Amino acid sequence: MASRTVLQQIWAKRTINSLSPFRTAGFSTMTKALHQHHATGAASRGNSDNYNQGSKEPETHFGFQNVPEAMKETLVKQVFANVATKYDIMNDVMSGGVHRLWKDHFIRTLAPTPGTKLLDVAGGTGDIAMRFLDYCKETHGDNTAQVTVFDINPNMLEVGKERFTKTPYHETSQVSFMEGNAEKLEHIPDNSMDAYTIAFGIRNCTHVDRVLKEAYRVLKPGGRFMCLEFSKVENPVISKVYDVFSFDVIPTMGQIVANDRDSYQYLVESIRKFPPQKEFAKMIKDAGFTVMGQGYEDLTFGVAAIHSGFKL
Amino acid sequence: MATLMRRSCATLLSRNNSMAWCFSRALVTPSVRSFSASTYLRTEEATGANSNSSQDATNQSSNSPAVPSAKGTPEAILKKALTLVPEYGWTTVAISKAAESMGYPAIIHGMFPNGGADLIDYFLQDCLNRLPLELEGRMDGLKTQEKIRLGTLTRLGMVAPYIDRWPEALAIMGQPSNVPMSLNHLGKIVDEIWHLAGDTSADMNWYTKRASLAGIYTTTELYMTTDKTPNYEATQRFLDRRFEDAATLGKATNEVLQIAEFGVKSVFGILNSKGLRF
Repeated sequence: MASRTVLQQIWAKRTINSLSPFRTAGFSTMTKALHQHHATGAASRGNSDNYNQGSKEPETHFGFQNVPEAMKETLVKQVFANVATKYDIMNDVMSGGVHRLWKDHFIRTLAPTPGTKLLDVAGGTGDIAMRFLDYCKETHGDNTAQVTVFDINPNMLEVGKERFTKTPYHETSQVSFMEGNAEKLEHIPDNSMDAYTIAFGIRNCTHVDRVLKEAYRVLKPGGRFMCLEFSKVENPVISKVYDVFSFDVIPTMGQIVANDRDSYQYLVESIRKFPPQKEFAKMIKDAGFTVMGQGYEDLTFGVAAIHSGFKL
Repeated sequence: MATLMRRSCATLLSRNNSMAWCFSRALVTPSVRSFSASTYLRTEEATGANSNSSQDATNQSSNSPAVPSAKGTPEAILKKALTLVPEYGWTTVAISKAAESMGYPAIIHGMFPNGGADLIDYFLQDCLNRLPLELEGRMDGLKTQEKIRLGTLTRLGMVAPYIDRWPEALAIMGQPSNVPMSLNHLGKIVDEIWHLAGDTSADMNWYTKRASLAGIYTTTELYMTTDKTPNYEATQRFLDRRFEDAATLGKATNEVLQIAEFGVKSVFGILNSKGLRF
């Protein structure tokens, strides 16, 4: 079947990888999911040659490869299903713990006030949600702040739920979990949230512009959109070091610690495909947000950046 | 220490005064001299001016026509926050409360990441915009030194509605990260006052005029925060004394320079007469 050939082309590089003795269970599940998904997709279109003939279906990037738009979601889902259980420990290993500082700074920048209603998109493991509630408790002695942890991936949400059972927030109205797509926040009404955060999630979405539109829709007037995401390192010296680190060190560490090279290969590639700071700030403006100053703040030479916009 | 310095200054001045006559009596620049001449004459008029201006400032803090701001802009939130400063101080809380009263979630305070400093920045800019409007037509026919005095008092009057919270503002402005902002505003204030007084100097005088007014303005503002007299009369007297000081200091500096010049010329003259050529 043609679609299968296409997939083999897409995944050619990975297939070579998979010949190595380190071939992982996660990877084969991922490929299987791909095959199934694409086969269904092709069948429903009724013409399996579409993709080969200059493709009517728009493409998007998945790491450094191009895949049909309809497929990216499934692929990303698979990546995060693979990494979910090791997600937090891998973050620590890969960033040397710096991601914690970034997230702390992120919440301090948000500086939630008592009673803030936060929607934390792509917040599966609850890293941001936990910091948010802790900040409100420690700074304001407030226990009326609420957070909705929203994620497309049930595996990631499970990790988050598990984590919250060990905290006083468990089974309170302060935290709730919701599964869904950031491009379509179906069960969340217009103008209902004080703040919207998305940390290391937006680059995995197929249509970043739709995500921003939805964020704008659900925020109350005066609400704040905040995004923590990997970004572009401008300094040439540091950028060289960073390149070596991300393309050589991180996938290898992924292999050793989580026994899953491909997922981490995707993660570092997707970072490079995400628009640089200024471009992303412009996308935020285009979605209707009011941006103060340049609209972003670089963290650690621009390895990550905090973007922010207000709905007025 | 301070007493010692003052004493030595006084000695220096008296010595200069006794020597000055033999060199020149016309050393003092006209602007500096007229400063001191105006100090006592103007007190009464200025009392009126100050009470007016502080009233104006109170009125304007509630509905300032000078800063164009529609609802929904960041400026509108800061403008509202200014009315809450007496209650909450120059803080993020004032901004949050203002936003809430306008129907926004408090989290919008993130628009002003420097919190109190952003609020102060807005206030100072607002004052700067209002100053020419408040002084419009009131400076006609006054001498330069009277204009400067009126301008300074009018500007000080704008702080009056927030005077109880002003030490707090000064503390925030003195934090290292806010110092550039504060100095920038101080520069703008004194420049605006001199500009409104019709100053067109384009020489070293430009700097000395502004520097001396900056010193006077800062100290007087600080004094004002502790002044409990009606209409800030003590502050006005304090301001007059500072203008006097400036006059004396200017005179002394000029004389010292003249003496130094005379001394150097004499030395060269003597050397010349001994047959040395330069």
